[in-house]
Amino acid sequence: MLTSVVSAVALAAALFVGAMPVGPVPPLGGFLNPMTGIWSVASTAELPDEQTVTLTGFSADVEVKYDDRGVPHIFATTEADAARALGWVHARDRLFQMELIQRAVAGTLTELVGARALPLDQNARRMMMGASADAKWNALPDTSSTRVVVTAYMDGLNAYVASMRPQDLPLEYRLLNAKPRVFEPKDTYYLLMRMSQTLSYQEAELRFAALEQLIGRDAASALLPSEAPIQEPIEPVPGRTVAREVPVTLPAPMVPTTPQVAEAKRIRDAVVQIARQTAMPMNARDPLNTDLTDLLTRGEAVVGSNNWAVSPGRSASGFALLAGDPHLELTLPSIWYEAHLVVPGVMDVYGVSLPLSPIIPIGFNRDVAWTMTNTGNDVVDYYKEQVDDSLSPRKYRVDGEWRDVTVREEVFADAKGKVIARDTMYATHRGPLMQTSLGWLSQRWTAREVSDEGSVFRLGMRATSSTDFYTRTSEFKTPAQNMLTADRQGNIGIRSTGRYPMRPEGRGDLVQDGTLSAYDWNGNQPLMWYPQAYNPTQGYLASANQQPIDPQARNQYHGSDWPSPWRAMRINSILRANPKMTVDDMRRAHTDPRSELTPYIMTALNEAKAAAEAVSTWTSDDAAAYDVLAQWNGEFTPTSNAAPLFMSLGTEIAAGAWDELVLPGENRRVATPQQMILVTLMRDKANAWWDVRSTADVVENRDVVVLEALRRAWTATRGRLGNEPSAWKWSDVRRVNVHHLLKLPGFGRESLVVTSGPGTLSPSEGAGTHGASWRFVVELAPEIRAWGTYPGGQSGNPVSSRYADRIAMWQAGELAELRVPLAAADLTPEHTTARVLFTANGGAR
Amino acid sequence: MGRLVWFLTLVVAVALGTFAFGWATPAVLGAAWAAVRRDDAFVPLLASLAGSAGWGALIGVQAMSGPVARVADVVGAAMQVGAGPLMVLTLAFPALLAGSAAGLVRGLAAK
Repeated sequence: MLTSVVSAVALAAALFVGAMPVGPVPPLGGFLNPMTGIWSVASTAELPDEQTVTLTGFSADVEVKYDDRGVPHIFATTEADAARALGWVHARDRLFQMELIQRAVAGTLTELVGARALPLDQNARRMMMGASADAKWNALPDTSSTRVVVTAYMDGLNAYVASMRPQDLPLEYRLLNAKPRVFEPKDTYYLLMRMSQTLSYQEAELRFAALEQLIGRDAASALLPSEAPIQEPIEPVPGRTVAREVPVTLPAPMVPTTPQVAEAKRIRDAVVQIARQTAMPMNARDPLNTDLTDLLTRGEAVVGSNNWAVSPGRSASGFALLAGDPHLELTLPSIWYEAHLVVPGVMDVYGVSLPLSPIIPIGFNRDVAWTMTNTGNDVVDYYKEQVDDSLSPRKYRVDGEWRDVTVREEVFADAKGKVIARDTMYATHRGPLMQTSLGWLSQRWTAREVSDEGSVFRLGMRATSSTDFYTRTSEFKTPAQNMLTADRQGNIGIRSTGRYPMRPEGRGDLVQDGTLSAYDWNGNQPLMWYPQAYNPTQGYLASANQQPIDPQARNQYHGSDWPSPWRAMRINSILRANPKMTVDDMRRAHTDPRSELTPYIMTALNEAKAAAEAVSTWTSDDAAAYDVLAQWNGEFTPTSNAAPLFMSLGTEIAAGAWDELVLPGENRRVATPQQMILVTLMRDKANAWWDVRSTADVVENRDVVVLEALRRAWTATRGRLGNEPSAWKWSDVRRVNVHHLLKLPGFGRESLVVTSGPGTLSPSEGAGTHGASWRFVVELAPEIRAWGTYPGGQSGNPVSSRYADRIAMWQAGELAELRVPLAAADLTPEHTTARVLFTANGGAR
Repeated sequence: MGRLVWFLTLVVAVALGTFAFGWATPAVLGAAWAAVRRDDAFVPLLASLAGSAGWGALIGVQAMSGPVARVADVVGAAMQVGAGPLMVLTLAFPALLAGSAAGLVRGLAAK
C-alpha cells in the first residue's frame, strides 16, 4: 500500500513538473527531452553544409554562401529578394535578440519575461517609443520601395520562424518557456527608435538647473558649457595643427542660500524621477551616474565612437583609407551581424547589419566606404507645463488657452495574456508629460517626429562616391551621426547629419516655459549649417563625439556639456605624425594605449610636487607614489602598474575640485563636469574652486588639492591592490564584461583583459560593459579591401562555435580580412562553410 | 525472455518512444512493463534504469551531431545548478517517470 502511495505521489509530481512551470523553472518534460529540449540545441549549433529552402515571394533563386568567418554572402536578383533572404538568415542566427529588441521598444517585455520587466515596459510606453515607430512606418507611402523591401525582410524572418523544427528554438525561449512572436514590417522602425534612444538622447537641462541653484548661473554655464574649452572639432579649422585651448577662467561657485540648496535638491530629485520614468533596457546613458565612484570616468562617453579617414596623399598605398569603431554596449550576441548583399546592377554592399532590419548602416560597397560616430547634439528639450489638475491633468495651458492633454490607458499583460498592470500616461503636443518634484514637465525629442531612416540607409548603401553618399543621406534625421566617407576616387568627407532643431532662444539647455508656444522649436537647421568637411587640405578627417564645430569658426548651437576631446586629439595626433598611414597603422590606432588626458594631470602633479618640496611637506610616501607615476610610459596596457594609481589620482582630484557640487548631507554630486573642465581648472592654481569648503579656516589651492589627492590615491590603491606597486596591474582594475542580453550566467564572456583607459581610443568605463562594438579598416583601392571584427560572433546560439569566436581577436586588437566576392562562384570551397539555396518556385533540388 | 533482454528492450522502447511521442513516454512504458512483468520485484528499479539509459542514449545520439557538453555547461550555468547536476537531473527525470509508474502499477496489481 505504502509503495503504491509513494509511487503515485512520485509519478504525479514528475508529471506535474514535466508539464507545468514551477517558479522560474520551465516545464521539465519538454525542457529536458533529449530530442526536442535543451539537448537538441547541440544539433543546431553549426550551420548545415548544404540546404535548400522553399519560400514563396522570391522572384528568382537566391544563393547564400557563408564564408569561413560565418558571414553570409547573399546573391540575389532584386533588393527585395536579398532582404527576404537576410531576414531568414538573421532569424536563424539572432531570433531571440530581435524579439527582445522589439519588445523592449514596444513595452511588451512582460509578455516574455513576466512582471519583473514592468517598469521598463512602462517607461518605453511613456516615452512613446512604439507609437513613434508606428507613426514613422505608417507615414511611408504605399508605393515606397522601402515598404516593399522591409516587408520582404520580415516575410523571410517569419518564414524561418514558421519552418522551425523543435530543435531550432533558441535556448533563451526554452529557459523562459516562451515561443517566438510573429514579426511585423514596422518592427524595423522599432529598431531604429531603439538606436535613437541609445545614441541620441542627451539631456542637460535639469542638471544645469540644479547647478544654477547650487553655484550660480555663471559657474553652471562654465561647468556645462556650449563651447568646449578644448577645441578639436570634426570640421577642421584650416591651418590649425593642435587643439585650441580656450582661455577660460571658471567663475567662482556661489555660496548657496538654504532655499537655493533646497531648490537644487528638488531639481536633482526631478532628474532622478525623470530617469526612473524614462530609463529603458539597453540604454547606456545613465542619468544617475553621479555617485562618487570612478568619477574620472564621468565625462568619458561610454556610448561614443571613433572614425577617421586619410586621403591618398597621406596613405602609403596611395589609396584613401577609412577606419571606424562605434562604441556601444557590448553584448552577446553582438548588436551587429556581418553580412554581404549582392544584387547585380543595384547594390553590392558589405558591412555590419542590425538584426531586425534589412540595412547595413556601417560598411562599404565597391565605390565608397562609410562609418558613423555619434554627434551628441542636443535633441531633447523639457518644458514646464501648467496643468489643470496636479494629480490627473486633463488640460494644459498654452498662450492663455487650455489644450487637451492626450491621456492613454496602457495595459500590461503577462505571457498568458493576464493583465498585470494598468497605467495612465499623459502627453502634450510636445511629447510625454511627466510628474516631477518640479511639477509637470513635457519632453520633446527629435526621434519621436516622423522621419524615414530606413529609406535613407537604403539609398546610402548604393552611393557611388562620397558626394553621392551625402546627397543620398541628406534627409537622415535621427540618431544624428557624424557620417565619414572615403571613396575610390580618393575623396574623403564628413558630415554631422541629423535633425537639429532651431530654438527661439538659440540654446536648448534650459527648461523652457511651456505656457508659451513661442518657446517651441521653430524649424530645423538647414543642411548648409551642418558640421561638414570635404577633402580638407590637411588630408585627413576624424571624429570622436567631440564638439563638431569650433564656435570661433562658426557659432551655431548644437548642444552643451560636450565629451572631452581626448580621443579626437589622439587620432589627429597619430594622423599628423604619420604622413604615410598604412592599413596596419589604422588598425593599431584602434587600440592605441595613450590618452591625451594624461599629460595634463602629470603636469599638475609635477607642479604640486615642486610646491610641496618648496615648503618641505613632500614626504617619503609622496615620493614613492610619485615615482610610480613618473616612471610610467603613459600607456594603459593591461600590465601597467601605474595606471591604477593614475586613475585613482584623477578621481581624487575631481573629488577635491568638485566638492561644491555635492549637496549638503549627501555624498552624490548633482552633476559632474567633463574631464576637460577639470583640466581647464587645473591651469588656474588659485581658482576658488580649489578651496575645500569643509575646511573653513584654510584656503586650499590646486597644488594642495593635487597633493592630497595623491596621498588619498596612494592609500586607496595600496588598499585595493596591495603594498607592492610593482605587482599592480591595470587589468586588475579594468576589464571588459560582455554580458548576454539577459545577463544569463554562462551565456556571457566576462572579465576580459584589454588595452583601454580613460580617453584612449578604446575607452572603458568602470563596469566594463561598453566599448568598441565593431572595428574595421577599408582601403579604397581599385579593388576594395577591408578588415574587421567585433567582440562576439555571428551566431546567437551560445553553444555554437560561432557564438563568441571573435572575442580573442578583438581583445588582441587584431582584424580579420573580410572576404568580398563579386559573385557566388568567387567564394571558393575552402573559404565556404555553408550554403543555402532559396528557391523561387518551390522546386526541391 | 530474460530480465536483461526485457531491460534492453525497454531501453530501446524508451528511446524510440520519447523520439516519437514525447517526454511522458517513460511513464507509459514503465507502467506497461510492470503490468506485463508483475511478478518481477525489480521492475520499478529496472524501469528507472531503463528510463535513464533510454534518455542517456538519446543524448548520446545528440552528442554525435553537436556539442552536448557545451549545452550542459551553458544551461547548467544559466540555471545556476552546474553542468553535472543538470545532466543528473536529465537522467533522473525519466527514471522517476518510469520507476514511479512501474511501482504504482505493480502496487495496484499486488492488491
